[in-house]
Amino acid sequence: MTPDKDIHTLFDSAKSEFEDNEVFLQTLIRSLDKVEYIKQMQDRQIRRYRHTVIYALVAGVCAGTFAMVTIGNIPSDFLQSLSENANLLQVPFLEPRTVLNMAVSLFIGASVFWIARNVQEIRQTLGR
Amino acid sequence: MTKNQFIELVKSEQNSLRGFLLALCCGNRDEADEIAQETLIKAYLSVSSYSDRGRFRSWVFKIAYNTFLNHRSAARTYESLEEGKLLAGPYSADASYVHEELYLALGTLPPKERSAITLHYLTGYSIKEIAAISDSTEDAVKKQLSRGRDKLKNILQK
Repeated sequence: MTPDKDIHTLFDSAKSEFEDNEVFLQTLIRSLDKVEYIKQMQDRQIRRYRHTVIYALVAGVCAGTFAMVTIGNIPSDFLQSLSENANLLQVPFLEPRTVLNMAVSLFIGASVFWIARNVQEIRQTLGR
Repeated sequence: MTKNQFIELVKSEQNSLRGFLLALCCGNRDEADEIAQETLIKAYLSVSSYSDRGRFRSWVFKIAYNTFLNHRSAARTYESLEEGKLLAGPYSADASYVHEELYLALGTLPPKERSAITLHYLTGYSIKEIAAISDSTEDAVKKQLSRGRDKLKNILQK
């Protein structure tokens, strides 16, 4: 018998039969169930983020459109009331139109920031 | 692939996978099963990348091989059978641990030689298949087998 056959024989006799295969399988199934649960949670979270991004985008577009359409046609009595409020706040140097522009800009800025933050989170989640 | 399909494939391959890892872990059943579980979870998580239909065993063995190399048991190599007996003592009491000499002799081989020898002699893989599993060249596998075989013969003849 060659030495190679010797090793073959040795390994052949060392082939193990596992009596606890069922226990091993049950442990695996429990682990896979946990994996499935985590995967489902992650998928749900990604879906939620995607919806949030869509809502934020729609809100941003609507706000932008609204600002573009209305900012040139603001009723003068509304501007007057803004002016009075500005005086009450002791910021007379701010024109009412400037205040409105700032408010709209802040709103759009916040929307863009919100979208960017959500996109970042989605990328982090997908990069797992 | 669904979870149930995956489990069906595992059912048919778990014996050879566990046997392979048991030899790599030099008879330490707890460690072997720990690596086997980790391997199968990794396999399940990357099942979408399993494109080589019908070669599930090679694919899982490749993951098992890499998982083993990253595991602490791969870092443990005995200098001699005596050292192996000394170090392996507490966990070698397993009922199926009847091939102590062979397992301890395997433990003296570096992890890559141990893997090549086990894949070739225990699971019957060809050099080409071992090269694919271990991501190395056929020449490298031939050298690992030759070196491992010589060492194994020397140790077992003592």
